[in-house]
Amino acid sequence: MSDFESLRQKARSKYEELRTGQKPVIYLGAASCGKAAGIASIGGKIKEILGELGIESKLVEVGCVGMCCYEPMIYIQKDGKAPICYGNLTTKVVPELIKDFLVDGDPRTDLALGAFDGPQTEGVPRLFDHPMLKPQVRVVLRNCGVIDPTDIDHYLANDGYVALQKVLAMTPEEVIEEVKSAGMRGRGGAGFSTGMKWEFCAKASGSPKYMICNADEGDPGAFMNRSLLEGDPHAVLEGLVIAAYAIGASKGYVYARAEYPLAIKHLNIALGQMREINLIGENILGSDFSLEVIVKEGAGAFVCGEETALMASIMGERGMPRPRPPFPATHGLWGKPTTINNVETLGTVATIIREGKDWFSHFGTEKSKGTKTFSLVGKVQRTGLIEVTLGTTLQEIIYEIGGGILDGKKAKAIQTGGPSGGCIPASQFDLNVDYESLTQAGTIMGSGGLIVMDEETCIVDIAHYFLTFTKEESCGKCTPCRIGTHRMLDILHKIKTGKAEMKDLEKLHEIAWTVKNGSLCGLGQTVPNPIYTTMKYFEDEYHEHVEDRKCRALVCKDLIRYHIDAERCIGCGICAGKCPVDAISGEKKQTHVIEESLCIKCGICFHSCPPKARAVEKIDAEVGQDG
Amino acid sequence: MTDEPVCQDTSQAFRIVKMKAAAPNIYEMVIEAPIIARKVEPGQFVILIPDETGERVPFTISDWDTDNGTITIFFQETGVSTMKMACMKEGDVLVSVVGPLGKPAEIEKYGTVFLGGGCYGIGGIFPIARALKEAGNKVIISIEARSKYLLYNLENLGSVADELIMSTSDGSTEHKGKIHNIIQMLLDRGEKIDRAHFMGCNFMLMISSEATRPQKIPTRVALNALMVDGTGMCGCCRCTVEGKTKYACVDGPEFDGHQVDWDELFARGAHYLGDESIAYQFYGQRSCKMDMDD
Amino acid sequence: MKIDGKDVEFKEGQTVLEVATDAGIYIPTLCVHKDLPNFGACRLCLVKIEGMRGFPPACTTPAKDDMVVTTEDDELRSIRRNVVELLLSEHPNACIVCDDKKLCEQYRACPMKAGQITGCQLCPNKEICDLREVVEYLGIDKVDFEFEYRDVEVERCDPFFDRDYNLCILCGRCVRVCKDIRGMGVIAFTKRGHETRINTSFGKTHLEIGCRFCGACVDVCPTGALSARGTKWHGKLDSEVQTVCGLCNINCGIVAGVKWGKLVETTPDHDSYTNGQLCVLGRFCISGMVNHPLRIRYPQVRKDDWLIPVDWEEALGAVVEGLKKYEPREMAFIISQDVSNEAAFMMLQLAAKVGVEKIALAPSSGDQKAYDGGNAFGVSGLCQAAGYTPDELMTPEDVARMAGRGKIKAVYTTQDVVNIDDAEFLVIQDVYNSHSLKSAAAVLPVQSFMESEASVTSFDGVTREMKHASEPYARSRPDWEITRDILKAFEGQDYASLGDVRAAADAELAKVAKPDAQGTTSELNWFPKHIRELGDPPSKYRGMDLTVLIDDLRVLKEGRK
Repeated sequence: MSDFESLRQKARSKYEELRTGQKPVIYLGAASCGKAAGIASIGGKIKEILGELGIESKLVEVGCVGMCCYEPMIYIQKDGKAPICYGNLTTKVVPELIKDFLVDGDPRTDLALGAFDGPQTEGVPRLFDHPMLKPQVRVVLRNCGVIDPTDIDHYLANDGYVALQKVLAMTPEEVIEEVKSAGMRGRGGAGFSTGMKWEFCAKASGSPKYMICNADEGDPGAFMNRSLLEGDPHAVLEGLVIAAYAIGASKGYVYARAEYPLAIKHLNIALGQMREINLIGENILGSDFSLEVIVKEGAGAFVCGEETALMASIMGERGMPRPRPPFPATHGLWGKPTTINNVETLGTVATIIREGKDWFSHFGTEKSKGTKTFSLVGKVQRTGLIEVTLGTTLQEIIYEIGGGILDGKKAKAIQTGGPSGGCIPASQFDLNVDYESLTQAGTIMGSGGLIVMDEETCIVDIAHYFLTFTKEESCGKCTPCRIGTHRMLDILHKIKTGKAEMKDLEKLHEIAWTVKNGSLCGLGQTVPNPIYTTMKYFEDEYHEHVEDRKCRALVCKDLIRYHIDAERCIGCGICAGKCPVDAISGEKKQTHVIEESLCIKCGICFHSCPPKARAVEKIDAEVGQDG
Repeated sequence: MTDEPVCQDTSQAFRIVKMKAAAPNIYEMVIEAPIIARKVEPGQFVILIPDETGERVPFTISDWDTDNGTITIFFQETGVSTMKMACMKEGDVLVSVVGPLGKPAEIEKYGTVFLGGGCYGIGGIFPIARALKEAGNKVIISIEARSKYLLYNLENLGSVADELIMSTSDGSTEHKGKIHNIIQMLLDRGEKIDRAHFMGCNFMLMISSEATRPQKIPTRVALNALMVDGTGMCGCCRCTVEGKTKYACVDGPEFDGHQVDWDELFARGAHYLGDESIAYQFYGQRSCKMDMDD
Repeated sequence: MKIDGKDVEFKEGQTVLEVATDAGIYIPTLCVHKDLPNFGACRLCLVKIEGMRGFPPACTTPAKDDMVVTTEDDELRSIRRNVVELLLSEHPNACIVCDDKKLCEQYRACPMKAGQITGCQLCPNKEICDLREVVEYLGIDKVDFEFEYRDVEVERCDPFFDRDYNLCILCGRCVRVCKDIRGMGVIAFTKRGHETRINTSFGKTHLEIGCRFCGACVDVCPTGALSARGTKWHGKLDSEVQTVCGLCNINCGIVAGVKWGKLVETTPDHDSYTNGQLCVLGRFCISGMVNHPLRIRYPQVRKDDWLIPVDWEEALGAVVEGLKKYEPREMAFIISQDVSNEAAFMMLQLAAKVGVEKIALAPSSGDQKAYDGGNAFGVSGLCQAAGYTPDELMTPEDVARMAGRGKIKAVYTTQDVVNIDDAEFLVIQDVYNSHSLKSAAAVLPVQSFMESEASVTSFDGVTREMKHASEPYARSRPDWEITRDILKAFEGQDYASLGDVRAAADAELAKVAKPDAQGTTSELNWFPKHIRELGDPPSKYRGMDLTVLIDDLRVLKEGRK
């Protein structure tokens, strides 16, 4: 133990030195999101400019702090003061910023989003007072975007592996009891008590036992797990080791999709570091407990997030779910007792142990304890990865954290739980986000995707979109899911194209019911959720599509047409030039006309019409009853 | 009848110029046979032998092209010989094609003529329909299949029909049912039918003929009898029509549908079922793509 | 536990479905097969169980004490109905919804022999369509979806069976039997979602991928998707006879399907010690062999260099007369490993009577696990009982060699022997027209093991009975009967019936120690394992190479090379 304490001591002073040293430090938000936003070229530019200016500075790549809308972002730390965060950077602004701040000492408060905790710089607000961050409670994400995820010392310096040390002095039963009474529920979707899940497996006979971390995040628009794995892999792995200890597993797997290369890289680096200082391997930290952990890459099938399919995939078989019972707790991987926990669940575990069950359970509602991460995307001002206490209302999330709807439009609905979840209409945004309330509203918590839709979103189109996804991702094993999704999509297509009749809506409802009740696994059983909820909350919109052949959001191509307003057209000819099918004609400076028989409704003219004219309009095609 | 002998011209090869699946299990085969193409009349058939060890099989000539010297047949794979044929490809040569055989269909101006086709008959009925149309009749064609995806030859039929009605057993087209239901439907709507032609399996010929019997509509059916030589010598295709013994190959293939002894026809047709089934067990099963590609 | 209000007993480890079935309660299902691990894919066996969420499948839910199960109510019926309609929306269904169904079936009693099945009477699953059973149970007479034909090309490149995935309902039975019972894993689910299909890896042919063509997948297929190409078009069978295969000494249990008096198919016998599994020969080759045009039709006698068909009396007369011309030491009898105990016994009796000492028998490998002829154990046991040590027995090749040197002049053989032409007086008692016929003095057509009753002793030492299944081919007669008549002519003992011969042969066999392979055969899937370890049995029957008879077998063997 003392060896480990000295390691921690060393790590602390190393981290302290970094944070308070006089040498400037530039942190790059280099998670996948930052990379996609172009952090690499920003980083290149910074190196170049530092070279030019002859400034000696440290560059540290950190994960994502969750403010996606401000990517790419960097933090600059000078004179041992708290790093100041700058967002929406371009290669043009960066040289200016570096020079102004590091040479001239001007922290450029105009560009700064805020400063992290620590000695503050005058004129710069605290980052955590930013409207996007203020309502958040960062438990799981506490280190994300703050520490270097590839350096175990950073994690150790921030109370890393304190919980593991504590756990090794406890009995497995005590650990399970602690997690159970903290009220921790699985963050993967179903919300089953984590402690109870461990208990089943711990009590099951058979050996060896396996502990699996499910990092097969696959919902469109969801990236909570990816960010956590990229930004703070040790937090998840610490949770994994604790869980393995609790259930008595001797082998652990992290099943991550191969589409998350950075997360996998960080996981493997972290595992290597853990092995070096005996946090995994034989007799962990001198105890009797031994554990081997490997990262298993999945091929990216959505259904492999389902636990029995995931296990099949690990065993080298086709990722197809099998009916339960028997449950994985008794018959899991290779037929042995197995526990599968979501990334976020494991990411929370260490904190529960470290801070205690009471500290944890004071967050949240009576039945839904703690915090939950969400990826907030869609038509909101501020998109990003957020963490709030369970029970926060949708209103707070969308309007306070998200800053409201883009372009001043009206909100229409929010999809929770990804393609397996449902749509909640704007009228119910006062809904508390907890397991029970969401289930009651017909949707699910899921892993935490939140997609906000505005009035320009067609609700049928949304249902169609999610169903297209699940139809393709169905494993094809059970009949209702395989054929039912296909047939439901058929009907939605008919509705979208104005060819449906009222009896098709009934049929849609009936198939949805069959798929929900008849399917084998969670994927199939939740596939109809988007349809159910949209039909429940937006019945009139469905009816409009069917009866009036009308799409009020002007999204469904077959029900709209494009038209050039003669009054406003300036005859610039841009639209005519861009039209892929030459459907637009008109002399220069004269009003242009769209030949509707040729128009394929691609919308290019609509988007290319100069803002000053805005002559191209999307209008109801007035298909009418006869189609 | 003809001034040239109806026999095989050994100087020329019966090359397959087109081979295509018209619908699942229905194949369209266009064969180079200039003499037959010059002589053929609607309703006639050929007998061909697919390969050296093959048997003689009759097929209705479904179209022809005098200029290019080709004939078209549609066939269903229902036995060893047709299986062999289904595995042939463009450029392959049939061992023998003899024809045109049988009596041509009677074509006159009757008024309104109803034509019903099923299976191969959807293809085979076309020349008769065309001739009837040219003779100035109102032509109503109805074709039947189990499901929509099994219908074919629609363009050809549509070009000569005043009305083309598609019926399917599963109701995947507008009309659920079969030809006999269509006849009833036409009669119900007051259509006066002066004559009917049917081509398809014997079962369809029988039940369709029954549908025209109450109105005494003159009904012609193209019988499917087992045949060997096709020239009236072997007696294999014997059938009983109006109580008299007839040979489908030389007296037919068209007969009065109300006068056919169907039970006898079915019984004779089923006579070799055992051998036909068993033949599959040892004759060239390899309808292999790989072999064909080599 | 309670099912539908009825108290039922169950054994530990049983599923709800098994308990219900035992209690006579029908729950529809398509993916369940009694030999296979349960899968839970078709979603027809859904039931309600008190205290369990949703609708658990009966096939995978283990029975528990005090469980209360409802197998049928409006909701369940509704799910089942919708599921079947969904299945039928892409499985040709005209045969189910057609108005003329009844009339049509009456007139087209036999399915047509189409290569591609498009529904209706063209389906090779004959009278035993599982899907149709379920449809009838649920009373579905119309499908509320527009039918969508997948229109995938029928896979006909492989020997023995066609695969038409237009008919497949993805129950996964074939995948499971191939992987879990046969241990091969040749086929699997491929692609995802609505495009999911059963296929080999990379869509290769079964031949390329190393399939053994045991046909287990064909046998479990509930639709016509997998069908035996050569034996699928006979329609409803007239009779089924449980018998054993005579192509190797394992003597698997087979069910001979008979129609028109002919053997039209052979399928595995689930009540036999091979647990309903066969090899390619037993499953796909026997009916082709038995009906093959190369069978010898008539007894024949050589007259002026020509083999002339004669009646049995004349043929046997010629044989007896011919044999009598030779000294016993100039004679040799060749007993095939494939003949029955009765036939071998009669041959040995005749040899003893005539005084022939040169008995030839193809040598057995001596290894209990290896494949030998269909009755290798019985024949060698009888020879041993008759006093021949293995060293004293000749081989057919020895006979041919000695005949070539003139040491042997008369040969009575029950199998095809290479280079036997030099024998002066050659009697061939065989099934097929072989090369040796060109020098035969007399030819005696024999019934195959499907046509006459007989007994054989398998590799495990158990004597098994072969039954009379199909009618004898042309004028052929059983081996034992022919030899008996010859023996009678030599004034030997007369055996009135097969029973007498069998009793005598059994008594002889009882004299020699029986091998015992019970250990091997007690495992459930010992036979597939045997095949995996040793490969398929050699394709010979009475000296005849079966690849000559069965074209697909030739394709298979050549493909293997």
